Amino acid sequence: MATNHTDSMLRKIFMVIPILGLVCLAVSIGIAIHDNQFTLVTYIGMAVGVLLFLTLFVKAEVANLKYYLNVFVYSALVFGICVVGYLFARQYKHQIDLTKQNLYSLDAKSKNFLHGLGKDVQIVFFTANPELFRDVEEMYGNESSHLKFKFINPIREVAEATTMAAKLGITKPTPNELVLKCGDKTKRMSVGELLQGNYENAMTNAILEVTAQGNTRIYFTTGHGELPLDAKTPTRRGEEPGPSLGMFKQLITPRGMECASLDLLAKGAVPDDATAVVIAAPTGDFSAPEIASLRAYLEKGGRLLVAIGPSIEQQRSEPYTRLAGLLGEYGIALPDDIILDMLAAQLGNAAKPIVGDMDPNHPITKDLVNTRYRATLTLARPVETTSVKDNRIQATELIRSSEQSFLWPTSEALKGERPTAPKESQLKAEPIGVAVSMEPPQVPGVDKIKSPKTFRLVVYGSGDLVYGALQNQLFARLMVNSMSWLTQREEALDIAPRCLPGTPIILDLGQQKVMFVFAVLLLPGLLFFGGVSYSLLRRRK
Amino acid sequence: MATWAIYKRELKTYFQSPSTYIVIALIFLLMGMIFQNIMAEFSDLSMRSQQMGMWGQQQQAPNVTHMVIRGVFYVMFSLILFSIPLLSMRLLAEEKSRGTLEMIVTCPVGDWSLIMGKYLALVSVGVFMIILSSLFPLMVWYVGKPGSVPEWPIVGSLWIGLLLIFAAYSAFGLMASSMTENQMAAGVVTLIGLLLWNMMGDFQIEQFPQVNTILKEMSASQHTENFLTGVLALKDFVFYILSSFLFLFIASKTLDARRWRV
Repeated sequence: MATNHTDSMLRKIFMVIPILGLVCLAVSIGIAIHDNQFTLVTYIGMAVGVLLFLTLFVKAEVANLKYYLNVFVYSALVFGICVVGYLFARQYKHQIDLTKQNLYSLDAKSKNFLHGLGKDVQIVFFTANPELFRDVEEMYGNESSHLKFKFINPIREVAEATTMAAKLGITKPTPNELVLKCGDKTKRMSVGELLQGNYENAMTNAILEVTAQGNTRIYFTTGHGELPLDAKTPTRRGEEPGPSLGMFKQLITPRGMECASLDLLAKGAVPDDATAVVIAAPTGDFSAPEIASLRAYLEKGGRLLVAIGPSIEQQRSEPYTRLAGLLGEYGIALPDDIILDMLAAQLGNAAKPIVGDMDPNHPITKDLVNTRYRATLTLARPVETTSVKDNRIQATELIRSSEQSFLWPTSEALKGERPTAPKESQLKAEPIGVAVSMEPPQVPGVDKIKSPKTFRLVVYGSGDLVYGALQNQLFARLMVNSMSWLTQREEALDIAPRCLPGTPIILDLGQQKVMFVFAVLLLPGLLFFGGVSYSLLRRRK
Repeated sequence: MATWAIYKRELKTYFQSPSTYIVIALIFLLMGMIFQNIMAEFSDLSMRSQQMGMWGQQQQAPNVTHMVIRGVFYVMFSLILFSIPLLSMRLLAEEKSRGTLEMIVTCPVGDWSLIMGKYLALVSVGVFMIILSSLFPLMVWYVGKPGSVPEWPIVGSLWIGLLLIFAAYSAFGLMASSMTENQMAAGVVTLIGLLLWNMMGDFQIEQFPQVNTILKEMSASQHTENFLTGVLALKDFVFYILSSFLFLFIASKTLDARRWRV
């Protein structure tokens, strides 16, 4: 009797609840229309309204209520457990990239650098489309807890953007800007750099730039016709700034390398704070005291980069005797010849040597082997390895010209003679070496990067690489990698963009027909007719 | 043991029903047509890149795994959504409408045994479809060997993704089927529910970015992206496994409540 009374009460209540739901829904929509926007309150109101309205389908009996309550409570409990489990798994961010080119994970160089990051870096994206950069946030955030990402829409969240800009020490943030801050250093860049091309190179280098200590000092020799580090300021209107190594400097300074000029004759020795010395395309030879200073520096475990083109550039017949002599002591011969390339001639590039094979294992070139960057050098001389003074030195031929190269003596070029195309038999079967690196061989079990300062030498047989470092992608990356390798800063090595390898398939007509028959007719047909016949037969039995 | 018996019975029912074959045949007809189209387009692109190369211009040749295999499997991911309501709608609703569910419930068979037996049978149909789908990468391998073969680890990731998604959708279908006696209603609820579950990540409430993030995290389609790109992420595995468990749990509670419902 009591149950019946309760049930009739429940029925009455459950008749009112759906009406209340409808009212709630209508009021919420009304408020939204009145305010011309949907707010959190209106959304909640609408959801509650719909839920209350759905009680219309509930049988209003005590037993049923118990049932609904039971299902609801248990389901809510299990849902909560599932949410906690998912959040737990999400926090671990463990993933396996199965693509052959590791397209969706960071390069080992970036990972190593990020694992060793000891400072907090604030990374603020001023963008209206944060979703485009979530992958970047996830990939970098997974590798280091020191990276703090923030996304602000500078158009909608004006106040927050202004406050953040003041915090970062910048004036006004522009839309689609990325700002990185670490200590006093701030870097601003366009988010477009992450969207176009090699996002990893851009991001890792930006982090590197703001966290770099600045204790890597590169000295550029002067006084032998090398270009100055900084361009001469134009004195008259319309005058162009003079040629310089400014572009090369622009490439390496963001990677935490400070550049300075070095007059060896005036200084008498390579300064103690030199991490590396660069001899960038000199037009004259070095004096004996200078060579002695360089020799002393190298013997102490110094690092040297030499970019030296053929002497035809200087119209000299006896060039670089002393410098070539010093390099000769380390097993590097610089024959005074010019490399000419028949392949380039066939492609309409005069006979300029083409950058052909590169060493697939050396840190300077290994990431460049599979890229599609190609370049020709204006003038190049052969760089050969001979017997090495010290058998503890390991030489690697970094770059070679194409197989259709041949050598033309500079003496003939100086006489004004024109090179004649060699016969097939005169072409070198092997490509000619254009760049060589030297270092002590690796001791098993010792990490080269972390081992103490050891001698390293890179010699390029052309000055184009330092002059044209910014105009040509390949030269730029070769220079960055060379400097990073010389200074033992693996993290500053250029990160190659990862692209999908082409796997073309050209179908002939027969193959297309077979594919059509198999994929469109045979497989679905077999499933349909075979399956239906089988099931009908089974039913008859 | 009871689970195994129910599983065998249900699997037999599936493979003796013409509707199962019709659904699978339709899916593979659509997939076959799309595969044929993508393959023809891929062949054209390959030819164009080769011609450009002959003229000295560089054009990246297309990649067969990323264009053809992913394209076909992407379609399959979507088609599964439409096939599940057709395959799952009868699971419990039919038993209810025929009155056989009462008989099963009174037998010494636990709710979980009944649910798992039926669920695993449906998942087995999914495994059958996944095995059949391997014919597409095999065809590509046959015409592309030796140099232009599919990347098998990515194909593996697609298979794993398909299986997990099929399992989660099946659990949802079973849950819907447990709630009604009407097969058609179960099918419609499953279809609408799965569509909403997939599309919820696309709803954008501008004022509440946090809500958008939650909706995105809860959306089923959001968790398929990694599998399609060849990335196996722990969170995606956990998401689909926990979702399946949650739906199966609700289905079991719904069955359980029948015992004391008015």
